[in-house]
Amino acid sequence: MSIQNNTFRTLARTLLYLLALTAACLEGSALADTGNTASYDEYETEEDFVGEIDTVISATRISQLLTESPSSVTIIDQAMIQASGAIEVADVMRLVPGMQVSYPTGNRAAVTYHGYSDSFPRSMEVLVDGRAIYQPSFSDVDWMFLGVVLEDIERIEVIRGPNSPLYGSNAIDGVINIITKQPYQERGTFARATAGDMNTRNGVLRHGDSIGELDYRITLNYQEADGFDGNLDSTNDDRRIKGISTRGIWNPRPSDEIDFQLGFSEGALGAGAEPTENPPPHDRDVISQYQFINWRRALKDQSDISWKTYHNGYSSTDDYRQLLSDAFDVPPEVIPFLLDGRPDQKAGYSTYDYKGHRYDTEVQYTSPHTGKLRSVIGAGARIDRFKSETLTNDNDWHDEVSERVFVNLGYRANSHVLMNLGLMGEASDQYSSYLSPRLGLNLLFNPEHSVRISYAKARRKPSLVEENFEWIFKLDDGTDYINNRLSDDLRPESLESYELGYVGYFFNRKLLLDAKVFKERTTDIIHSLIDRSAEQPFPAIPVGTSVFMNDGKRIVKGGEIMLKYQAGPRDFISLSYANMDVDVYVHRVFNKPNGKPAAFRDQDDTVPKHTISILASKTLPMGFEISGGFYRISDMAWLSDGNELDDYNRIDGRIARRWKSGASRMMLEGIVQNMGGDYTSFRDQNTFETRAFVRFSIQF
Amino acid sequence: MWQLCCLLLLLGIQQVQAESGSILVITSSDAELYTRFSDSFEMQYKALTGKPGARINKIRLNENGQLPGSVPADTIMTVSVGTKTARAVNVLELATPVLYTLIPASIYQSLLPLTVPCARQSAIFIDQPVARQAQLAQAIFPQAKTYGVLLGPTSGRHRDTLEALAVKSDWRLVIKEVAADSEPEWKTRELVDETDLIIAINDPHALNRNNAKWLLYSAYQHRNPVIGFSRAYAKAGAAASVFSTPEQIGKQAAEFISQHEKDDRKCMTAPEFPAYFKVIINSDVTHSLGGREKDETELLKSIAEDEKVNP
Repeated sequence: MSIQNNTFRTLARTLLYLLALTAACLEGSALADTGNTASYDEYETEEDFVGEIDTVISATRISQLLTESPSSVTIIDQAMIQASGAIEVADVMRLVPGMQVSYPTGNRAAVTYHGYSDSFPRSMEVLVDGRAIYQPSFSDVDWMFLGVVLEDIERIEVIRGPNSPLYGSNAIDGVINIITKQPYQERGTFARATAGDMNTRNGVLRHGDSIGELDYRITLNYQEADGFDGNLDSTNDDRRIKGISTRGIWNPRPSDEIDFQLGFSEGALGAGAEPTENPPPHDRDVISQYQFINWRRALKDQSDISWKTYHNGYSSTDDYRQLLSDAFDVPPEVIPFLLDGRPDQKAGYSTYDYKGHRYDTEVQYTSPHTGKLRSVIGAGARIDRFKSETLTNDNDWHDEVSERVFVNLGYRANSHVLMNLGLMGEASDQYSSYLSPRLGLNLLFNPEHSVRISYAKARRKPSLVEENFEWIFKLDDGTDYINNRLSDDLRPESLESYELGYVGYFFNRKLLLDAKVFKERTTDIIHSLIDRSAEQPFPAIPVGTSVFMNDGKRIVKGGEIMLKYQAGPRDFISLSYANMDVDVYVHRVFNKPNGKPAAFRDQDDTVPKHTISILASKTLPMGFEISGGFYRISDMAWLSDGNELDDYNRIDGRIARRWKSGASRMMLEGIVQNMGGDYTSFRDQNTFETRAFVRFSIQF
Repeated sequence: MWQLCCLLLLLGIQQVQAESGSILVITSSDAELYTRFSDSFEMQYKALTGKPGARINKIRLNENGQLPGSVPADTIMTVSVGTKTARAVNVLELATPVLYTLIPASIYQSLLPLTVPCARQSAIFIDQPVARQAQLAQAIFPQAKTYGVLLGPTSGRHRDTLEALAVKSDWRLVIKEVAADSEPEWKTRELVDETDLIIAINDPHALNRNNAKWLLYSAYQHRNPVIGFSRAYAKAGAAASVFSTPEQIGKQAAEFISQHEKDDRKCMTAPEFPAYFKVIINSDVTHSLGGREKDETELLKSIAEDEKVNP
């Protein structure tokens, strides 16, 4: 679906300016100025008294009932987060059907949907209050530097399945939308301390208040942990991270809401002792920061327009330099023979030495809630920047400028039939423009039961690293030793998805059943292939040249089911199960010197057959509550530096007591993760043992 | 001989059925709300009348909002469920008495006169009496001395009741009126400025599901608790709510009709507010606004007992 680049970009820009202009010129038409009664129903109905407000915003950017969403959506609320006993935000994602969470190192999490990932999962769009936080460099997410702590999260909406038609090219596998609490919900002071195994020492201090019409909160956080205790190669994967974030919402008048967020984190992450690279333990320094502002104006006809602008900055500095003899594990006198007479000397080559920035702006118009047709239309522009001498063999900024327009139309033919059409057009200065469509049909037997059929086509643009990869050893004498990892001319990956789903509520809406069967076909997969014909710059050290290319396809078929029975706010049981089969057709090498066709690589074990999670929580007398989680992932191979891992079961338990003293509310929790036997996370060296934590919270 | 006995028995059963007749329950769709009402009504009616074989005919309006066929001849009572059905049934001029259920009082009032000499229709409203909300407010926030209410064209009818309540209680009442074409948001702001507790009363022009967020937000910002009238309000930020479930209204409808039959009256008794209700507390909000954290069941019991003493 390629269209003329210039035409498209002109269209995107025009729409962006038009919407921006509309927003700016709406001074006289705001809700507050003329009243908003015109389109309200003239009369009351029973819905005013019994209507549920169970809404999902992420799937269509419109508040929608789960039964009317064109995608399968999992909502993880604060009660589930607490009950899970999670210490890291990434761990909560285990509750999502079909999602796998792993730790390549103790200070790095990898979260992927439907498997097939290395330590840089790059097919999920992750948003915090609408701010895309996947990084422009690797297109992955650094879960340790989200800029949001578990305690500030209101809920997490996870769209399972492609949502590029509304969120752009990284939402090829799905969208994780982390929605934080409104500052006015967090008045007062809150403190939380966590201590436990792996020398874990975490602390959160938050204060919320208001000044006039401005509500704000400020959160300070500190986290420290040793990483995997049980790893075999003594990988240095500890972390010490401190951060500050603030969110303010200013309502100058009823029709306007200005939401601003600022965050800054810095940390020292342990590096070294990787089995493939083997520098000695040392620290790399990470700085993450963001600035976000979103202005939303409610218009008189119950429509609204919003304009958000933000910047994310991320830098990881790992300038550790190591003697070549140590790096190659040979005597120093051998180096001149290996490197054309050069003496042994230090070199820098970390994959974690880079800087990145994202600048994004977007305008969105949401049509009124009434009538048969609801629509969202918007346009945005983005600049992604990336710089890394070791990864690109230059010291230049690599930029990508992109524009997008999107529309979602929801047409309610009658009380039983709802159609959703989503369409995203994206253009950039790197690739041809393309359209990502989604068509969904929801058949509602009644408001509590619906069947959904949907089709979507989504794209994933190459990350800036994939696009510009040229990994080097920068030697002290100024020369480069190219590690022969390059990028071909890449085009976006493409995914087509077919889905048949059902959502139903039972027992007075206490039981939610969400089930789907799906087929996903990914083509033009971007991965690295070995080029055996490439010249070896230093033949004495033969290094397999690998090149990022578009190659092959992957077909995943399966089913997912989620059941949640909610007996009370903190009394529930939630169960999720995914069963998947995958066929992967990709090559290991793209040319063979002897002219024989290259063989397909066996990667059918990169998607686990079974992914299970169960979480239950029960309140007890005297303020006690008990909760537990069971998680199981069958055999799965993680790509690149990951390994093929056996299936594992993990059982987590938590007991908590809440009490109050005067105006203060307190909670003490005891948490045990992985109460059964050890299991392996991401690679053979990472042994996840039983871990215990104590957590104390106070709100006053 | 036995054939004759069977025939007599059969005739006897038919006679009993003819005498008791059937109940017609009309809904506008098979939404769970209506199904829950109908199932509860049927179960309770059969239990109360001791007639497990009693016929309850359930029919649904067609796409045009009309009855799909004629009313069964043996129908002795029609139960209309929901607002849409009420509008359709009201113009049918049915021969049977009609009990309107799951409708707001304002709709009933707009369709039918509330007092007629010998009414052939009555109702069980879905909205709660405002006194019930006020009682709940007093139980949780006894320190609140100024209650605020936003009234619009539809909810304006509550003014007298509220003023009478204020006279009897130790709180002061502030009412802000919103005209059909005015700005409810600014009135809301004035209200939260001048009061320390808000009683939420639904009104299409003043406070409705679309703008409730603003009231809840503004009230919370000013540390004013809101007492709502639906589960959704408590979920969205009200300190507490009082509401009735479809099952509870179904039970009350069954009792209403069963009593009507027992009394063998030609005329229907007056419309009723829900006799059965639930209380839900948003403990986070209640705590942060300095409310008394009470058990929901205990609260419900105390409100019900108080209503018995002061009907």
